[in-house]
Amino acid sequence: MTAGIEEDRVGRVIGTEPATSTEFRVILEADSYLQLDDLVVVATQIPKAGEVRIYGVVTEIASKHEGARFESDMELIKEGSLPAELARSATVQTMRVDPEIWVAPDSGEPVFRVTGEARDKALYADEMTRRLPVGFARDGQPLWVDLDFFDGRKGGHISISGVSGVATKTSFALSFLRSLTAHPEVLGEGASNLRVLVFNVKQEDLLWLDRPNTGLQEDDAEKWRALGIAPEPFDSVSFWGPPREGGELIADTDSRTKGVSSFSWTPREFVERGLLRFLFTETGDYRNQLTFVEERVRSQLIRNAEPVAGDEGAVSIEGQVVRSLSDLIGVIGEHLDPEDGSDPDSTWTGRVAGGTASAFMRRLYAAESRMRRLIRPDGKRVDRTAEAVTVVDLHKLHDFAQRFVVGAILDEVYAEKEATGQRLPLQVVLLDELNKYAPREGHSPIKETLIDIAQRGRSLGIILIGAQQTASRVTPELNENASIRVTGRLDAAEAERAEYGWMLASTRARARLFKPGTMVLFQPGIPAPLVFTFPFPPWATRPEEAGGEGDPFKGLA
Amino acid sequence: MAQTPLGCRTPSLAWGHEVRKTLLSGQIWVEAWNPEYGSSYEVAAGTAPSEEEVAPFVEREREAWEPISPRAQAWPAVAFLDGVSRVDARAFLEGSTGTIPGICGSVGIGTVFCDGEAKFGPWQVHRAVVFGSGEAGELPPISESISYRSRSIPGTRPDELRLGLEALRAEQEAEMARVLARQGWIVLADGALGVLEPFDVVGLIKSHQKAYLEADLEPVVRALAPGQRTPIFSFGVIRPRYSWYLRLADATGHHPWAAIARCEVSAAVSLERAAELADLVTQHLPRFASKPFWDSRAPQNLVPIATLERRLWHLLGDRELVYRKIRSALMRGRAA
Repeated sequence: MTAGIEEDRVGRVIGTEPATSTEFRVILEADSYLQLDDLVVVATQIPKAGEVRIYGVVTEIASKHEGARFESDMELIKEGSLPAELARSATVQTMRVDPEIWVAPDSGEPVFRVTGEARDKALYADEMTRRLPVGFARDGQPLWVDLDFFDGRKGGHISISGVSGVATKTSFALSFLRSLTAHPEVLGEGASNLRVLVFNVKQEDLLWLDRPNTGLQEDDAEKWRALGIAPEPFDSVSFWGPPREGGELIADTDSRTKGVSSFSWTPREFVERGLLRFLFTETGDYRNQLTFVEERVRSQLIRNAEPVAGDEGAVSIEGQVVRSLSDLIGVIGEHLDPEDGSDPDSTWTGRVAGGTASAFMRRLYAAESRMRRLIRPDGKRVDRTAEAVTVVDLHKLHDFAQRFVVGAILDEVYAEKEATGQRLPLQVVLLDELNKYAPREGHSPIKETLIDIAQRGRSLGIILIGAQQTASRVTPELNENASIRVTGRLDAAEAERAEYGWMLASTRARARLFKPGTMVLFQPGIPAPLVFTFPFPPWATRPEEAGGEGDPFKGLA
Repeated sequence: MAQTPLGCRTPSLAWGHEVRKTLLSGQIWVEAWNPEYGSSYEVAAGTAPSEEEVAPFVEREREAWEPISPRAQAWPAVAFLDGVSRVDARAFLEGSTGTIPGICGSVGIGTVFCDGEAKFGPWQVHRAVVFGSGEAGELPPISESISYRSRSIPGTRPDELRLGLEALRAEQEAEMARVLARQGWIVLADGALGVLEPFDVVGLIKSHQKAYLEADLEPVVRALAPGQRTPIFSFGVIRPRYSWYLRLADATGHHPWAAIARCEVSAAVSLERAAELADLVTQHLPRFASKPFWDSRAPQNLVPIATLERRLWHLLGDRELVYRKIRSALMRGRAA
């Protein structure tokens, strides 16, 4: 009758209230327990159809004294005059019925905790052809993500939300990527030449991905092994930082200097690639017609650009050699803000009010000091093909420059993939603070690029792993197109928003209590969100943790 | 006085009799029990003492007949015992002498063990179909778990049929009391018991219909403080018993017999043992007394007994469902 599942009986289906096809309650036996997120199975006999197995996840646990009627009865029970029985129960939400005959379990049927094959069934793991281990469910066993919903075959993109600092969004994203790179056999054809682009926005946390973590304990190492991953750092990483001010191309990073290359763009690239638009990414720019002026100026620059013989990085605009952002602003200023006080050149401004042209110029002047080190004749763009993982450090750049870099690089990624039209090789992009780059309100070129990636990236092989504190502040197109959703600790008010409608009420209620390293995962193949944990990273996240190269276990007892 | 619509001159004439002005003290009390349960004290004034040959001075002489504060003893392992009965359906039997009335009834008996912790102990459900006129009829099995044994009584009146069911309850209660007592439990049963053997089986009687004490001893009962008892007296010809009154709770503001319960034990036990049991019960039962908000027959309906009773009602099964099953079983039997 219940062959293969009768290993760990925990209770019976409660019949004092109707059990339904989607939810039922279980009275627990005196010597067993269930906790939230546990997976259970109940077999029930259906007339003419035979046995149906109903798999579910525990969404609530309750305990009460049966026989007690008044609150003060607890005192009577304690002093031994009132007999009462402790009734512990669990509420279970159905995740799967097999075969698919949607019925309710019969009252009184025994309920079992799932193990082995039944657990795979409960998690639909038997239907996942490409399952990637990403962490551990509450029972301590691995939990998988179906890569068909990650790499674009059936779906793509991951959206990660949660409070900064405790939600461990970036840590999870990196754990996921570590698992992805450690399991090429699961990823399949996409594994060769898989490229991952990571933007580092906070401190220098991600500049140590290639170094072992001296704080890694043996039990955490064991957990990584249980996921089929060697507890070692990423083995193929290139690091990029913005150049310091001055003549030499040295990356502007503090804790790590060795092995960090600097990135910048030549004036010629700036003009030819139309990067000017990434200087106008504030939400008000569209409303204030600055983007309109920018379009005119950008096309005038391209139209009038000539290469400079013997100087690859420089560009000549209307005969003037441009070797820096300052030079370029000078050329633009001649048309928009003539020194002789005459009106702006309408072929460059498109007949906007004089004030708009002035505002445009003020923005350029302000950009000059924040941006000049990124535009130089010997500029060198980030080489995303050198290693499997490319980390671009933005944390020392002004917000304005950060948006420029993210916009310019994403545009480059998108343009390249669009030109080939091929899904392979896969390009994964990890970007935190999505609410800054693709806010719910307003227009900006970065937001347009990100929406393009969200909507068309699946077929072009660009997979976005986006993170944000609050999904409600990010433009809906990004969340809607993310097949896989993950959250860590959430602010209580945020958890009630529609963006988290995929979470169970019970999960939402305790999302504000999640500890670092505990998250909820939702993927289209499993109709219920699952709580899971992932192990402590084997790569260093701070300079103090960084062990020597080549000896991942240095510093371990 | 103003003319009333009925043309009567005084209200007293409207009620058809003269108001007696000879109230004893003028003090009026309200029964603490819910009126649906009757009263805890139903001994009418002027009623003659019980005719069961009451011997009041078995423990104390007349001059020493006063409230007793028990010697302190530890609470031993005590089993509270109770039973309930219910008429599930009324039935008729076509007998040799015509249509014989009967009842299908269910009886539940059970225990609560109190030895530091209160726990439900063993329980049983018995079902019987009782016919009068000495006739017996068999019911077909009603379901897998429900079947009625046949019982017969000589009478035919509905209350006699009901007593036939009560007799079943009393028999089974007494049997369970004996089993528990043999296992070493002190048994505290709800109501008078038919256990004649020298077992530690104490019956607790919540309400008072008979006056066992002479009028000059009755003030001793009124004078009992909570946790005190009267001296033991004995009565009963067929079932000789030792008995005593005790007060379960403070009844200030209530009638003088409020919170008074009577206990009895078979006179087959020694008087010393009876006194020990009386002291034990008197000392400890106030702890188990219920509060007015908790039970409509507080304090006499003890917490374990009241809880057990509710559980037993529950264990008899849903009455409507049982009734329906009896009917359909008989229908099936007829169709077959």
